[in-house]
Amino acid sequence: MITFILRRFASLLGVLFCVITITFFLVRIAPGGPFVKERAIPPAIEQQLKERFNLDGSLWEQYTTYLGVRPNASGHYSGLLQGDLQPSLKYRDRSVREILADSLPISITLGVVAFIIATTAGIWLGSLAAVRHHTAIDTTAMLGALALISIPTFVTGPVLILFFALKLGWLPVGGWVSWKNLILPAITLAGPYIAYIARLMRTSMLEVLQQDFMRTARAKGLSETQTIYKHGLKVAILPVVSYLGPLAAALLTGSLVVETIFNIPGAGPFFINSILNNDVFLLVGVVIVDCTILVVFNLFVDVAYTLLDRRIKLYE
Amino acid sequence: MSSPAATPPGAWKRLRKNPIAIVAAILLVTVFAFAVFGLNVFGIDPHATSNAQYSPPNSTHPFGTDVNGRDSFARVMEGARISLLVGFCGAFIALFVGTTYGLISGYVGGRTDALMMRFVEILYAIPRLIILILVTFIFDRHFKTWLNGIGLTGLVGYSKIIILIVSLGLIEWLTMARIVRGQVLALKSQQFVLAARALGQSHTRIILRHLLPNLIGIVIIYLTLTIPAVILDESFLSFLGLGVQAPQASWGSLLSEGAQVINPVKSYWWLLLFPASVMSVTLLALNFLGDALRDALDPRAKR
Repeated sequence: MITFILRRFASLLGVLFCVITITFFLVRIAPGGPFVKERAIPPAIEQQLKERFNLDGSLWEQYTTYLGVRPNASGHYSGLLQGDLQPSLKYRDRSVREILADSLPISITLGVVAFIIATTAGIWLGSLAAVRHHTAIDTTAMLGALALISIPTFVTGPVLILFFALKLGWLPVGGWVSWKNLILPAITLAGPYIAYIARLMRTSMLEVLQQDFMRTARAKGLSETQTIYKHGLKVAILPVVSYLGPLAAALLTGSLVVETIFNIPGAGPFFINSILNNDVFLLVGVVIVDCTILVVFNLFVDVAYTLLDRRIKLYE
Repeated sequence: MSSPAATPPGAWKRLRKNPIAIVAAILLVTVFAFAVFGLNVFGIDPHATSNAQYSPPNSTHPFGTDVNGRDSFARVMEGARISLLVGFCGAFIALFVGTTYGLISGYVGGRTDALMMRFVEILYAIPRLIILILVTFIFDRHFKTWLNGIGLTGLVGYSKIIILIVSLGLIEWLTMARIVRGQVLALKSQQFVLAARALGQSHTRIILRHLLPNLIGIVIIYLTLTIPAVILDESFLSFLGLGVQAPQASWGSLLSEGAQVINPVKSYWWLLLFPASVMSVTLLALNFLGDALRDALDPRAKR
């Protein structure tokens, strides 16, 4: 088990390194640097700015300085390895670390709440549909799921706002003040994934319901509820567990849109602005953090999977 | 030596008996017809501005008008054109890449297979859309310069769309690759493949003559399900202002405009309602059709 985790961890570090490298070079080879604005600035000033942010050398020099394996202009090693994410090129008075420290917890809160909603609602709806196979509940749940998958969040979001915030006045339109601000965005974000998980869960539960061990469980006198939720769920949930990694990735991306709709000061708007402004440091910073979260999360999911399913041995 | 039929007997019949599938197909054909011929048939210009700012739906403008007095009906049809173009072309690229990748992985098997599938797993876990935003944004500029350089200035306006199609196709192939690989693994140990091997047929021939025909069913199903995924991705980018460029419209950019004018004082609901309904209905129809195809082509799968 330890070997498995260590090996996975090493490969994850590799993935992370590749992503950082690709992102850095992609942004730096883009025409129009971070200092190119509508109004042209004198070349001397541009040169000074580039020197100040260590963006004046060759691409390779810039990259190695950013990683922290090459001293910068003032002779210090100050890069990723030293934990320095550099200042933002757009918001000059703030460092990337500060921006992320302010905005990331907000995005993570939203993501975690949406994650909980998506998994619990999805698992519950899916098992319900499977247990009530061929009934109106099953049909309605599955039609509803397909509809939820087909309607993009940037439609459900404004519709929810229109209804619950503007017409009924129960919940705030947007912003980030109290827990009430969390409800609509979290539901909007979770919507399509409730549907995905419900569909996954239903298929696998239908399969499990016909297995021998379920018959055994019933035969030994367990009630139907106990059979399903104690014995069935444990096995039927496995496909959902393997979907959790992609789910986290999807929620992370989806929150870009939801944060825009609900005017939430999370990392999403910073990410989009950093692209538009060629703000390489902020951009790479967001990408690093996003990827790290996902990669670590996936490690947890893998481990959880082995613990749940004794038939699988990951550490060969 | 012939392979078993690609489609199980009665698949077509089962599909025709499924009322939802028929309705979905009719809806799709309608949306298609409007997207392709609509603008010419009605003789309206999606970019023509007028003084009729924000006029609600009426007889001249069935879907109302937007901030510049442009006819929303024409805009939605233009949006359909671009969204469907991106969706279909992107899905076909995904289909090509995914099938090739899955075929190779499954057919070669062993360590190659393990490695190739590990790579797919890794790609699943990174925020692909975020990387995609980056790639489209950066390559768009290079591509524009390049198009200007070789004298294809007429295409410059479409550079973003071309890039979107290619890059969306290149990120949506993962599921297809997994499915195809699974199918190939199951197929290659079957008698007819073994027989073909025993008769001394080349690998290329086995893949092309025996495996591919058997994959068509499953590939079509996932093609139907990839198209809405690509359309959704594109609308996502356009919604964020990183997709198609104004004055061109896709469903995503129309919805983004529509979402911005929803406010308590005066809501221009038609700018959100019409593009949203048309898009949702199209995606729903595609998803339903994909599900119905799966039921029809794979009788063992449970509904």
